[in-house]
Amino acid sequence: MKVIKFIFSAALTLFLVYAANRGWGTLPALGNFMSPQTGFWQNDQSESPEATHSLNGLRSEVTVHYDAELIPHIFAQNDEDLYYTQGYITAKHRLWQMEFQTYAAAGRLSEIIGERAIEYDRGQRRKGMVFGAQNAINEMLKDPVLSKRLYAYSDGVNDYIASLSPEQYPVEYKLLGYAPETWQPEKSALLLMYMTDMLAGGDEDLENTNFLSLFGRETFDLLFPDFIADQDPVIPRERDWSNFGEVDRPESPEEAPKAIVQTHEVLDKPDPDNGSNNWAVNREHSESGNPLLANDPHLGLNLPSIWYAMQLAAPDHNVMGVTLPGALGIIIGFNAHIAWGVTNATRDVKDWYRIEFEDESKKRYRYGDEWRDIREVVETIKVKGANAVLDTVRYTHYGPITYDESFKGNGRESLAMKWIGHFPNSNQNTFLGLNRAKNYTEYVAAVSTYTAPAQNFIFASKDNDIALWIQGKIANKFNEQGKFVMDGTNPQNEWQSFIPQEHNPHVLNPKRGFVSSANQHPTDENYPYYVYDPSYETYRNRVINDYFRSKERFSVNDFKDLHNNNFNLKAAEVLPTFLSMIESEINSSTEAYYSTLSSWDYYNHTDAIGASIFETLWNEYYKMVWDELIESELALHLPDSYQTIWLTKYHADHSFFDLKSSSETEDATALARLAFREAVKKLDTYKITGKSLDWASYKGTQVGHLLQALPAFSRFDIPVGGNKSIVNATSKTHGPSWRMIVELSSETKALGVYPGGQSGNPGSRYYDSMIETWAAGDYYELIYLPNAQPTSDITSTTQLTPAP
Amino acid sequence: MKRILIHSLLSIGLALLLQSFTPWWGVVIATAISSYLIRLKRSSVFFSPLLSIGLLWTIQAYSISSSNGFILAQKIAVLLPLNGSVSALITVTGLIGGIFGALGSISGRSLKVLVS
Repeated sequence: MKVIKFIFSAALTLFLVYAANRGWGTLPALGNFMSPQTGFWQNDQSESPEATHSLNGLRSEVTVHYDAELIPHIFAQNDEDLYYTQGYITAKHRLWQMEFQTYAAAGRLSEIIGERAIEYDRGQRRKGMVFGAQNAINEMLKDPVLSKRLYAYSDGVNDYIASLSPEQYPVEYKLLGYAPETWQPEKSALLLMYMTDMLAGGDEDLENTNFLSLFGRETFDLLFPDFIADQDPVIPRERDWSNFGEVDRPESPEEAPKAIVQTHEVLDKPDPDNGSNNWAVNREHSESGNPLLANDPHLGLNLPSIWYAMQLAAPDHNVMGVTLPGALGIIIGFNAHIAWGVTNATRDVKDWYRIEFEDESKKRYRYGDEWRDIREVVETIKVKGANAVLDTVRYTHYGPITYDESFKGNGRESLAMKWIGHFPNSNQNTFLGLNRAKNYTEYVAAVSTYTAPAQNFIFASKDNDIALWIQGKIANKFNEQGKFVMDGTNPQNEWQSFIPQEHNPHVLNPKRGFVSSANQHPTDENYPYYVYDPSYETYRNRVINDYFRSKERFSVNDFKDLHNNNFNLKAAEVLPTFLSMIESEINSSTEAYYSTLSSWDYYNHTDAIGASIFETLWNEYYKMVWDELIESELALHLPDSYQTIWLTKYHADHSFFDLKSSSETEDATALARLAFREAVKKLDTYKITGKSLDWASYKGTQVGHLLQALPAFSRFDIPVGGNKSIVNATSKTHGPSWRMIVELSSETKALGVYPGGQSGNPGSRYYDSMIETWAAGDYYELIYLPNAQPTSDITSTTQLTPAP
Repeated sequence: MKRILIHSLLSIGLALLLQSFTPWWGVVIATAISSYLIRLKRSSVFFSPLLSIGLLWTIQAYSISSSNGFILAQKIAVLLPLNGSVSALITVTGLIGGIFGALGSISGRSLKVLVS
C-alpha cells in the first residue's frame, strides 16, 4: 500500500510537472511561464540602466547616455567599440525582434511557430532570400574595414545574449518556448534582405501577362500606362538629359515578349502602401535661413517598432537618427554637417523567365542552343512539434525557380526569378558612409555603390547644398523588358547591362529651391532609359510639390504641418463627379449621408464624418468597377485609384463598368449609384454597433505586435487622421513609421517621433511610449550631444568598461 | 499548528533557496523535502504547502509587477485570457505555485512513509 501510494503520488507529480513544462498548441509552458522567478513576471519591468558594466569585447571605455525616451547616446573611442556597443545595446532593447525578423527573412518561422508557417517559409526559400543574403555577406566580408565592423556588431549582440539567463529572455521567447541563438554577420545581411524584399520585392509580371491574355493589348495600355501626364516626377521636368549624350540601349528581340503562361496563384506581395515622403529646402527658401530636411517612411505599423533611435559617436564622426535593429550605423539621420533621408524608388527590378527542361529529370534547361545545368538546393524547413519538411529549389543562372509543379503558379510550368536582391552588394557601407559624410561629394560617394532596394536619397548640408539621387542598381532594359513573363530559352531576353551609375536620375540645387520625393515616377518621359514600375504613387507627390510652390519660405512648423497634412486629393478629384452621379439617390434614408459628404472639405481629419462616408463609397465603387478582375481565377493586378478615376471621368461607358452579376448594362453613373446604396447599407450597419462615424474611430488605426498582431501586445483605435494616398499616410495598419525634421543650423537641431517606443519589451513603459505623441502629430526634440558630456536632458548613464 | 507553521517556513525558505538555481519546479522539491522532514497530519499535507507556496508566488508576482505599475500583467491577463483582470492573473499564479507545492509535499510525505 505504501509503495502504491508513493508510486502514484510521485508519478502524478512528475506527469503534471512535465505537462506544465511544455507548451500545448498556442498555450505556453504554464509552469515556467507563470512562475514569478522564471516566467513573464520577470519581464514586468521598465529599463533602469545600470551605472557601470564591464564587457569582454571592448577595447576602451564607452559611455552610453540615455534620455527621457530611452534613446541611447553612445560615445566610443574607436569604430569597433562603437559597433560592438551598438550591437550590445540594440540587443539589450530589441533582441527578440532582431532575431525574429531574420528568422522571417530566412524562411525559418516554422521553427518557432509551427506548421502554419510552412508555406510562408517555402516562399521565402523559393525567393532565394538566404541566397541573396549570402551573396551580400560574401561581398561585404571582402572589405576588411566593413568585415571588422560587422564582426564587432555581432560580438556585441552575442555578448549580450551570453549575459542572459533564461528567466531574463524577452517574454516572446517564453511565450513560444525557444531560446535566442548566436548572432552572425550573415544575420545583418538577412535583415537588409528583409528590407529589400519589403521595398523591392514586388512586381506584377505574372499578373500583367494574365491580363494581356484575358483582355488584350489595347485595354492593358489604357489601364496601365507607363507615364501619366499630370504627375510631378521626382526629378523636376525642367531637367534636360542631353548631357548624357547618346546612351546605349539594348535592342528589343525580334520577337517581342508575349504572354506565354497563365498563372493562378502567386506569392504574397509586399504591402502596396509601403512608401514614404521626403523633402528639403535650401537656405534661400527657409525662414530661419538654415537648410531644412524632412523624411517619413511609411511602413506597416508594428510593435516592437521597425525603427530604433540612437546617437553614435566615435572620434571621426557623430551621427544620430534611426536604425533597423540588426543593421549597423544609422539608416535615416543627420550629423554635424549633413542630413539625409530615403523614400522607396520603386522600379521593376524583379523579372520572370519561363524555363524549359531537357527532360523529366529537370537536371538541365535550354538556353539558346545549349543545355545548362540546374543547381539543386534541398531546403530543410524545421517545424516546431512536427517533422522537418524538405523542399527542392532548382537554381538557374537567372536565379531560383520559385514557381513549379509543387509551388503556386499554375501547377505546371517552372518560372525562374531574376532579382536585383540576389546580387552581391555592400549596401551596409552606403549607410556607414552617409553617417560620416560631411558634404555633397561624400554623400554621392556613399550612395553610388548602393544596389537595392533603390531609394530616393534626399540630402541637405550646411554648405547649403540640397540634392536627391535616385540610386539603385537598375537593369538597362529594352522597351517593356520584364513587364511580362519572358521566354527563358532566348538569351536576348537576358538583362544585358545596367544603367551606368552616373546616369541614375539625380538633381543638385534645382532652381525651384526644393527637392522632394513620394514614390512617384522618377522622371518624365524624356529620361533616355526605359523606366517601368506597376505601382508609382499618384497623389502625395502633387500635394507636396504644390505646397512648396505655394510660397517662398518655409519653417519647421510648415514641415510639421505638411507631415500631418490630411488633404485627400483623391477625394477632391473624384467626389464632385460622384456627387453629381448619385444625386438621384437622395431620399429620407440617404439624405444625411449625402449632405455630410457634399459639405466635406476633403480633409481626413480625426473628426471628419465625410471622410468615413467617402472611404466606404470609394471602396464599394472600386470593388464593383474591377469585379471582373477580382473574381477571375487568374492572378490579376487591379488598376490603381488614379486610373480608375480617370476611366470614370473620360470613359464612363467602358465595359468594365458593367457589373458581371447583373443582367443590365451599367455605366460609371449606374455603378456609382449602386455603390452609394451599398455604402449606405454598410454605414447603417456600422452605426448599429454604437461606434462613432468620425474618421479616426471608423478607420481604427492599430499598431500590431509582430506576432500576427497578438492583441495583448498591440495597440488599437489610435486617434489619428490621414489615410493612404494622403501625405499623412496613416491607414488602419500602415503609416509614417518615423517622422524626422532636421534644421542644419550651426548646431544641428532635429525633431523625431515614431509610433512605438525604444523598448521591445511589452512590459516596459518604453514599449509604446511615443504613440500618443505620434498620433497627435507632435515630435520629440532629438538630443544631439556634441560630445560625451551629459546635459540636463540625459536621465541616466552607463559606463561600459573593458573587462580586466 | 506549530508544526504547520514550521513546515510552511521551511517550504518557503527552501523554495527561495532552490529557485535561484533550479527551474520553476524547484518548489516541488522544496515542499517534498519539507514534508519528508516534518510530519504533517492528513489534509494539511496538501493544504499547508498549497497555502504557503501559493502565498509565496502571489506575493512575489505582486511585488515584481506592482513596482512596474502592472504593465505586463495587464497584457498577459488579456493574452491568457482572463478579461484583463490582474487580480485573476495573480490568483492563477498563486494557485499554480500552490498546486505544485502540494504535489511535492504529498510525494515527499509518501516517500517518508515508504522508507520509515
